[in-house]
Amino acid sequence: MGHHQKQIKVSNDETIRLGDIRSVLMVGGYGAGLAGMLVALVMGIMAGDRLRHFFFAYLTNYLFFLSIALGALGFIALQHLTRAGWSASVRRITEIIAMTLAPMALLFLPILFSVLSGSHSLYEWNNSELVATNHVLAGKAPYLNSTFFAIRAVLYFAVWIAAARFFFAKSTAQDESGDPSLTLRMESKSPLVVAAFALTVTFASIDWAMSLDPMWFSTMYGVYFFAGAMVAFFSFTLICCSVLQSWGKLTEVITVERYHDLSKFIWGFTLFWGYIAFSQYLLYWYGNIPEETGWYLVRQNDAWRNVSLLLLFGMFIIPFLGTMGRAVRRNRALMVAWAIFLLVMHWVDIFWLVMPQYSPDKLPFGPMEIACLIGLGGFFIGNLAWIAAERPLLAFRDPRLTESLTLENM
Amino acid sequence: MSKSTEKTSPKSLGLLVEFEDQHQLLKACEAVRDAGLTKTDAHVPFPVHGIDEALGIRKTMLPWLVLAMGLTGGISGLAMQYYMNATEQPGMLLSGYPYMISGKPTFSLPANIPVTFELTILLSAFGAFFGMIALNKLPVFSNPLFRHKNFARATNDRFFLTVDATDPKYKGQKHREMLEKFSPVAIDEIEADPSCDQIPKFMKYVVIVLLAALTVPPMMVWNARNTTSPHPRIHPIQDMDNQLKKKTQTTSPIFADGRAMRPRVPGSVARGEWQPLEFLTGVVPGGEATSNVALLQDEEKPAEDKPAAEDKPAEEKPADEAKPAEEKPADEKPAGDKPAAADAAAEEKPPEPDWVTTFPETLEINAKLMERGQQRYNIYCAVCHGVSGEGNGLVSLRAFELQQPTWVQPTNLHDPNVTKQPVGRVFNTITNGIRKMPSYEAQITPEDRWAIVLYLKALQKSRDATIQDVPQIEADALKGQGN
Repeated sequence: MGHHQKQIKVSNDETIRLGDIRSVLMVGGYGAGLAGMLVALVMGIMAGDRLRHFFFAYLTNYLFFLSIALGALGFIALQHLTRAGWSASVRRITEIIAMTLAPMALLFLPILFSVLSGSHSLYEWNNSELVATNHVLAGKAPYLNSTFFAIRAVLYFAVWIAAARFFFAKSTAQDESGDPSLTLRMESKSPLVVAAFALTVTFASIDWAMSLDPMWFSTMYGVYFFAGAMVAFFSFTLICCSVLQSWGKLTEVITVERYHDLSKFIWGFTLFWGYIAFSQYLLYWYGNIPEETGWYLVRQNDAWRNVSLLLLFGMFIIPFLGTMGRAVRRNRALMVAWAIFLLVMHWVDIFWLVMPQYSPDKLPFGPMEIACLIGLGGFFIGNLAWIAAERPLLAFRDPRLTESLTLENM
Repeated sequence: MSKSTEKTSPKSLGLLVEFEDQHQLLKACEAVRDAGLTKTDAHVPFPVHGIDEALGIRKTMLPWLVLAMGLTGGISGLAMQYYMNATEQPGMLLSGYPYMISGKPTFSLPANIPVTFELTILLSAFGAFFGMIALNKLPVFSNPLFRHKNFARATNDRFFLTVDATDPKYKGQKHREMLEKFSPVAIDEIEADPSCDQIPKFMKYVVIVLLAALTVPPMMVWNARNTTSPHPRIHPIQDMDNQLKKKTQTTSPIFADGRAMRPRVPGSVARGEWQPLEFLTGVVPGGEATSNVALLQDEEKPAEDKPAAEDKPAEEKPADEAKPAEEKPADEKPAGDKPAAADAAAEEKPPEPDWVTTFPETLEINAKLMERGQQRYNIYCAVCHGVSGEGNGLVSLRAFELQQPTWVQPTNLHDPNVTKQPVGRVFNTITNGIRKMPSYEAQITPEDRWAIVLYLKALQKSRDATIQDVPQIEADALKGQGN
């Protein structure tokens, strides 16, 4: 009711800080992370395939959590670019998620070192014997080689960490000073971040996931990865909001309107993902050119066919219809269920992108994947709690916060 | 016009209440809603949150309309493509035109998604746009509110509430007093338009002229359809109709043979069409004189010059002259029992190719292939050789009836010379022809040729089959018939 001039008191106290929960999250997260990674590593060494399975499972889960963090960075830049008011009350949470990109850079080191040491368990293009006999790979060698791969990886992380730190530092500084000019600073830099984000995410997805099959190429791949990342990010943020509220945090400031807004984005990016996935598929299906269809052929045959169908229905058709209604979007419990469902589907999506390269004829889902999921997931949660520290979970002096708190969906 | 000049007091259409800020308006709206009035509306310069609720406006049905339209679009898009591309009932009204594109099935979902998607979007947009217009009862060309002196401020700094007098619960004075309590700037009666509502007379003539002008385009179309013109038809949208390319079955001065369609480069094999040489020629490669070219020479020359060297009577040559020689080549390899005394004529001619004696391994021998062979035999072979293979086909009978001098009776396929031939040799005969018989290489695919050979072998065997050759069940059935 707009005319009752809603007065929402934002108090700078325990209700907008993690407090005691933080140490629990850090111990639990890092503990699960270490245990999971250790188990996965031991299993990987025992497997005797030169850690091949381990690296593939690691990469799958790494890209899953990285995509959530990347989605957060893209989201923040977009909110500042469009001078959005609605998101002010959830933006700090997304800033914390985006800040996990810094520890994510450390977790990329195993992959980077394995490539630099000349291992080709993950990336075939790192196999000099194969490249020597393969015209296509020889032609791509100036781009796909371990040195340039490392340089690019460093560049991507430099850009992401710089951008995430910039937004986080300015936003937390505003908690102290309440200076609205900081918002203007962030807005003025956001176009640059959006441009850099678009390029780095595209190239990173090509480098780390698409080049697993170095013979194949898709100009749509970066957009596809981005679309999935945004679905995962919005779902994760919605779950974060709900979990924080169930712990008694931010209870006043995150209203049903914010859940509604986040759900609209979930729905929109689900449609976008379906649109992009189909755009990529249709051209290859129609052209039916061997070097282009090979990638899909693996994913259309044997066990992978069911995963492809699962994605079609689980990532697009079912959630598209399921989250279409206004009543669903304004139902917090229902939307949390949809968000969990979509996170699982996004994991399946990354699994579907990466794993057929390791095991083209049967589903490799097993203890290794679960151990890596627990390991990297534990690190991710631990990182979130570590970054959140004793900082407010709400940008309580953001000049647009009042707008966000009183905004209602028509 | 004279009628409308008499002035009556303008009829009241309802109340227009003017407020200075939105909060007063919202309270007034709630009061009006609680009084049970439904024909009310608010006019504000910017979106006011909660006004729908305050006015008691029902939730719009527009989303459902859009959903229904979107589903209609999607389903009709799919149905249309299914009808056009995948239904085939010759001669029926409800029949599409299955047209294969890029070797895809006529109804293949991925190809149909773009059209389905676009139609879903289009009809959704139509549903939203026209649905909104219809639900708002637009277009309205004039509204009595526009005559009110202050109403223009509704787009600037004033907030208005209207209460329609046609509302069944509307009681003029009572509601006016009720609304006074919310300290409005003013409460005015909305007056009906007192001006004349008659259409000016000259408009009648304008309409008549316009209607007459409207008949011109259809008349021009009708005229164009019934006359001829030396000019090419108007082609406003070129698409890709005129291109620098040659279409199938057209001529081209570029190539020596004048054809736009290019034949396959000799010796080339299309991807996926490779077959072993035995399958394509009926000759084991690597044997003596095995090349197809050699075979052709082998068959053609004797057919013209040395019929005696051949196994069958050649055209225009007495049958008895050819007969002595004919048995030798047939027996030479497959039978393995060469006649000890090979006569001179046989010595002269090049050695027989190494015929394939069993059906190629790539061929699946089954009842289906046998049926196919029978069908192809009845189409291509039976006209001359007869359905039963005795050389008494309809063409042959007619030729004898007309006493054609150059006609030679087609070979009786049950002649021992033919029955002894290895399958490769029969295949080769169909492929390259022999004497009067032309080559059927162009008409019949290699697989069909093998099917014919298979059927022919069965046909030949049927002549001297014993009851032991018949399966037990069939034999019993035959016995039953005999009794």
